[in-house]
Amino acid sequence: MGIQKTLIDRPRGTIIGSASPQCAAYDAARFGVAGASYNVDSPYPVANKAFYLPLDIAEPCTAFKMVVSNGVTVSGNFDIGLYDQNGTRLVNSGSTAQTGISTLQVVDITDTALEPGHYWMAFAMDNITGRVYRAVPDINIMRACGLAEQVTAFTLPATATFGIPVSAYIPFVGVALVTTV
Amino acid sequence: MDSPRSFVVPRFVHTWSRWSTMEELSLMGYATLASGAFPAANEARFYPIRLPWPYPLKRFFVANGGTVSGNIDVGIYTPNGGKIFTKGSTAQAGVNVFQYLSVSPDIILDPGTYYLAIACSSATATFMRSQAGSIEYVKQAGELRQATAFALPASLTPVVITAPYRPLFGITSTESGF
Repeated sequence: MGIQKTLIDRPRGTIIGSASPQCAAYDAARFGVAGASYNVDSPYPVANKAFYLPLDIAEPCTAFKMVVSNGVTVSGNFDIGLYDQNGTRLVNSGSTAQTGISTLQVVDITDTALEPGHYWMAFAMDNITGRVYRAVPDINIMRACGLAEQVTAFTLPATATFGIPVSAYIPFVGVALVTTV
Repeated sequence: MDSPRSFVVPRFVHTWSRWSTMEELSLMGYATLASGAFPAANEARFYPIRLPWPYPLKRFFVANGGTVSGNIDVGIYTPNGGKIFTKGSTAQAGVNVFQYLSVSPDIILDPGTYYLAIACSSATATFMRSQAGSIEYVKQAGELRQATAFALPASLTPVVITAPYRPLFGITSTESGF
């Protein structure tokens, strides 16, 4: 059977992040606003808000770690994790101190097997001083790509409540499918 | 890997996604999304999309702008202009929100190229859209129009566009939410 290869159906990389084709944030960041890419950092927009990024996994894999791209100021704590398509939390780091300016902070999580399907990457911070590299596309395009958010969601809840985007902000985060990052 | 082990389709396919000709326009120049009036009353606009997998079409959505007026119609057509589905005349409702329109009966779109179609009875109605960019770029992106096409017709007789207008709208495999 001839199957046209797509960006989603290509073999995935070792880290699937906000800028990866497997994440719906890819479209929002690429097309949302000219110049909205992840090469600028800014303070986290709302303390305790969680951002949920749709993730499409096309082949069985295992999530070993998660990553966040810290900006020039670190502060307080974050929580990063994965949810299934129904909003049930699968794994999360728990409250973790943001450390290492201008670095990719790698957080260990419980190894979690992922079957093909829809998931969500989730990220929340407890303050608006810490900075993260991010994209700032139009919120309507964020919504059209299925991105969601939830206020008062630190630490990440056991069950997500997906709200429509209000903050034009996509943190650069990812899930590592290898043990060494 | 020569073929995927499973199809995991995106929840949304729309005029601002990689499955539309925004892929091409992103390299040619386009403007920020903003509320703007529909180009002409009773006109229909068509935007190519490319689906590399079977797609379960559950709903359409339209990003309304700051003024709602009249009625809208949305649909999907083959590249030859044959109608697959149109919603029918529906009152535009909800300022600055996403308006969802259900699909019945269920439709599974085969992999292939389609036109997303939108028509509006009012030139006062607004949508979130991009209107800039050279008209020549937009033509290269395959956008077309048809005058006096509300509600959307059984088959298309499209003509070249005369002014760029790319509203944010599309299809979704979700049945509710968002």
